[in-house]
Amino acid sequence: MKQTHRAASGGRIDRSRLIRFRFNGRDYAGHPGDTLASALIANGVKLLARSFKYHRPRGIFAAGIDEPNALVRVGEGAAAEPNLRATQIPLHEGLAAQSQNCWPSVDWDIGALIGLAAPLFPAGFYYKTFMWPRSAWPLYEQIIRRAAGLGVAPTEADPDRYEHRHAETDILIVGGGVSGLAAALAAANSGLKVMLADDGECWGGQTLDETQLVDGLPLRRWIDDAVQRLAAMPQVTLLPRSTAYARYDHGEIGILQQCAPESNPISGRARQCRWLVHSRQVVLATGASERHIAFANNDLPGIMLASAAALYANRYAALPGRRAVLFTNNDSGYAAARLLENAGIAVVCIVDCRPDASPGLAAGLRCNTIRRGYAVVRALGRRALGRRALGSRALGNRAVSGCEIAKLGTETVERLDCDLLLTAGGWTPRVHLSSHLGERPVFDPAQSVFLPATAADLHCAGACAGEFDLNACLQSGFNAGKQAAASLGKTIAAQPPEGPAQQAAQPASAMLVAPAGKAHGPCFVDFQTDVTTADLGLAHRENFRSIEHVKRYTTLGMGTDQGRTGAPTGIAHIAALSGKTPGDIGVTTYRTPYAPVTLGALAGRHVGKASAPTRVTPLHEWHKAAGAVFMLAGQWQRAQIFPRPGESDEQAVNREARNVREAVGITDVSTLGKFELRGRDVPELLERLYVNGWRNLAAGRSRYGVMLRLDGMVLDDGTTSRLSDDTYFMTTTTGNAERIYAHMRRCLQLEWPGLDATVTPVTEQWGAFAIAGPKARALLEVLQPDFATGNADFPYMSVREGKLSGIPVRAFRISFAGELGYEIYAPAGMATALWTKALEVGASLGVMPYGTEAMMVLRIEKGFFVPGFEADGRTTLDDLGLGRMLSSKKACIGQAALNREALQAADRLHLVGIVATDPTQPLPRGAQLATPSSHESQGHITSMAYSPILGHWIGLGLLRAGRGRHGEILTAMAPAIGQQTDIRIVDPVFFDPEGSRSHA
Amino acid sequence: MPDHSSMEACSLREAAMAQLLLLQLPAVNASDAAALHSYAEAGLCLRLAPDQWLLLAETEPFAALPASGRAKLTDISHAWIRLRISGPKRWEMLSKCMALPHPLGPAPYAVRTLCVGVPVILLETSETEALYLLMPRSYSAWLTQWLADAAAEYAAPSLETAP
Repeated sequence: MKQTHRAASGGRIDRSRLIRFRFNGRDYAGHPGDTLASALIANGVKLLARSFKYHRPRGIFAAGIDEPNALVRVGEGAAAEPNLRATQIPLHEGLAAQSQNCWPSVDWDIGALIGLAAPLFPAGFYYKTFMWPRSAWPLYEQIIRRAAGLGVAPTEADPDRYEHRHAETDILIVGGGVSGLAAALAAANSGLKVMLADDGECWGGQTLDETQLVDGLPLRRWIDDAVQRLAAMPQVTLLPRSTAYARYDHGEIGILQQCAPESNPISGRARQCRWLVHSRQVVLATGASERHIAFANNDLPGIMLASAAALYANRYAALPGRRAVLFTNNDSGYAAARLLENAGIAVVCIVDCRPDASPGLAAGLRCNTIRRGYAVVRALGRRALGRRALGSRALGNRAVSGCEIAKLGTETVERLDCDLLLTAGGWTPRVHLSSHLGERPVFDPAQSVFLPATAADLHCAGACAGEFDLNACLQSGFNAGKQAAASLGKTIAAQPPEGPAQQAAQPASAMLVAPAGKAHGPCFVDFQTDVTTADLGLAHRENFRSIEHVKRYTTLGMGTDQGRTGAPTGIAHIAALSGKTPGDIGVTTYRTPYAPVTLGALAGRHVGKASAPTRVTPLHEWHKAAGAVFMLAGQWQRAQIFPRPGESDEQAVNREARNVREAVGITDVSTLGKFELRGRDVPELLERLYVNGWRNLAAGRSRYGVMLRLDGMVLDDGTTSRLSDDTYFMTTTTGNAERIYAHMRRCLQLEWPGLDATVTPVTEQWGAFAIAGPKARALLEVLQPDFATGNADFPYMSVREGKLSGIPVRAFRISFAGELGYEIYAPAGMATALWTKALEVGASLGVMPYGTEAMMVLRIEKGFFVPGFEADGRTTLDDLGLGRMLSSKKACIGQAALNREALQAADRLHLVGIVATDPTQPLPRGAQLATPSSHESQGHITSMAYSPILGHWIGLGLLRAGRGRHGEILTAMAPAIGQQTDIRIVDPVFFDPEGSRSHA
Repeated sequence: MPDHSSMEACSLREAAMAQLLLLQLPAVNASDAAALHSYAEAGLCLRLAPDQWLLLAETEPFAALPASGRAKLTDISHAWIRLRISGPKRWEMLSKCMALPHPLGPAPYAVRTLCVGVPVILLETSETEALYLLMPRSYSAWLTQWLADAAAEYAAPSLETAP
């Protein structure tokens, strides 16, 4: 397609190359340097979008981040991204974009029929309409939610790559316009580390008149020269295409950088990068957004902000129209008119609402029709279809064809023909980042703008600070950079850049909504959310006074553009209706993010397996090679079962558990928390931590212990062994390792610093595996220990340090399976060798690995509790049947709390064993326990498993006064899974209650 | 049993360690002095906590050291995996996973920090264009893979497990 609206010359585009792209299924061409918006303008495309609520035809209205209308979907399938501003999408080969919020097409959108009923959908429509009947709300909600929103996000996983980067700098400057560049040059002159971020494709910001001289150079050359100088400084980092979207506490700024037009997962290059920059000083040079002046039908395609039209015409040589009418309330409209004329657009009339606007403002303009004291009251449009065509009114006009203007105070209108209608309503400083920490902008009545609040570490410059002419921007930028450096104790010798002297601006008019007169047609204030002056008037009549309430009632400023173009006009209108100033009305709260941030950028590379760290044991690779099935226990990957070919999971668990009872099994227990305790006061420390006594633990012996929380509830259990006179080795459960370490460190540092005891975490130092079963001693012996293994030499609950197969080990005679058992600890780097050796030399004994499932079966058979299952944070020692462990000869943490009446009540939940009355029936997982008659819960099942050695299902549970209810029949109910079984309460120890096998 | 305050207990332990190792131990506040000191030209000594130090050496020069008062030595040589990260883009790559200024300080220098949620020690020695990441053994497989992926866009830096 020919670029019918591309000027023959000018613009910062590379005309030597063509870029082909698609929009709404049609092929177009543009040039490097274009955005999607500028390329579409150059191709004469005016209709890009449909509005959010009424599906009205919309075109490009603004430039860059301010655009409220032209939201498009880019890409296909999983890589598609909705709600992107066409004004911010760099054109690249193969770009495919389409309009959204329309069906079947943007030209013929059936949703536009809703416009016929627009009078029925005023502000607050939802609140008023869907209140009755109350019972129908769930239905209403479904319909409303389906209709809400703009684009549609893809359902497939995003194939693109996103990065996070952290950076630390002395001074961060947000905004790469002339103010930001001046600030960066000043700050960098101090030698401090400086970062400069700008959301645009090129540096220089919004200044378009590049013929002005700065330091004797044309502005564009000064900008290029400044960027080159900054880029050459090693302490300066330049971040182009980077939007600072949030300001957090302690000088942290969130920045979203567009890395490349196309992501490239193969090369590792990300599509977007989310920077978290920690800066000691921040300079905001974020510029200002132009306001629009509202009038009837002001949303027709072809109606734009004057500055945006000037930008497209000058920077991209893309002409949004041929004949323009410009409606202004301030001097900047004349500057825009001058730029438009220079680019080849005829300005047929300037409508200035100021009756006393100086004729000198029009000096040098070719336009000789200046209407002072006039306002545009209505836009006129070309209809999509003939007036008689069905639905033509609803489908609306495709483009502006003229407007009606009226002298203020009169109702006589004059008609002007044009294909481009521009408004220049003054400028609103972009103060958002300055307000993210709670500061409120300050109203400046002289300029009728809200200015940013500053802070000790925050400086503002340029248009953001209310400076709107070039020289003032340069000066304020330089001063902000200088002040930021001075705040860090640095002085600079450089002189501020010198710009052209400017004439004092004439006062602007406060008019942001033209008088309606007899004109009819909707008068839009916020384009993105379809809020009109009528909506605001209704809110005001209904007594909404706070701007925050008006915002929520009408949705003013609630779009993704955060009301950048609409809110100032809305606030001005509310002020006019209230007889107040905008300063009295105030602004709504600016919250992060300033601009939309993709979910991908928020997640970064923390997706899938990279979403959270996982830990593996020293034996992990062996387990993997052996075909183990893994489970996550906290962060640990643990071998759950070792299924053989053709074996089901249940068969594998049964085989592994049975083998422990009948021969010998070996399992990885490296995940246990391990600590080395040193010092002469370790026994005293253990006395205070554990419920039982430790003073008489001899060297070479181990002991089981339970720790309590301060409130008396069971915290954790494990063993501690005395390796030598002043060295102890403690194990904790896997899940509580970090908690117990913190607990002990806190006690030693704060509670008992006088104790001569140190705690060193050695969980990572030791790989560990348990050997259990009647043949465990035989297996230990074939590993060629250099220590005696007989029952007398190495009795139950003892420890030996020595070597197995030449590998240094700590061997503990401990069993969690209720069998003759050992736990073997070898240095982590040697653990696999020893494990492999044990399986090799123990093959004739029938040794086989078993996983956590079989381990669970074995411990349930023995009635051993596990923190998190039976000890659930509400369980005391006595509840678990271990009350006799509590030593009365000394005190320990949590002991005093046990005296509380509630913890000694007879009807507390006690640990019990559970079997089904029909032994063939499995126990329902997580079932509640109730009497058959009442169905009132009296406890619950905490653990259950099939016991291959017993031949039926067994379980552990907590039951009210359970110790005295052995033999009672109850019902186990799990309504969530639809299961119910009669069960019998039994002793929790199902297997070898005398413990003879452990002591063998 | 003496009734020490927490700081007194730390001082006692520090004095015992200094006596044991015959050196001035790293200061508690790393901003006041380098956090890392050479130890007898055989290794490095890094303060992990007010009363904890990590001694690093290629060989095992600490094994023969006797306990001295409250100073206790525990071998944790299998607990950490050391990753050498080299190349001009090493800091750029690390900025993807940790919030640290660089350079850390006058080398040798070390900090304890989190790297993608994993507790690590970052060590900058006198070696140019390289630094070391000490990570707990159990996390090393996951973290090394994460870092390798982070480094994918660069020809450098290179990652190699150091002895």
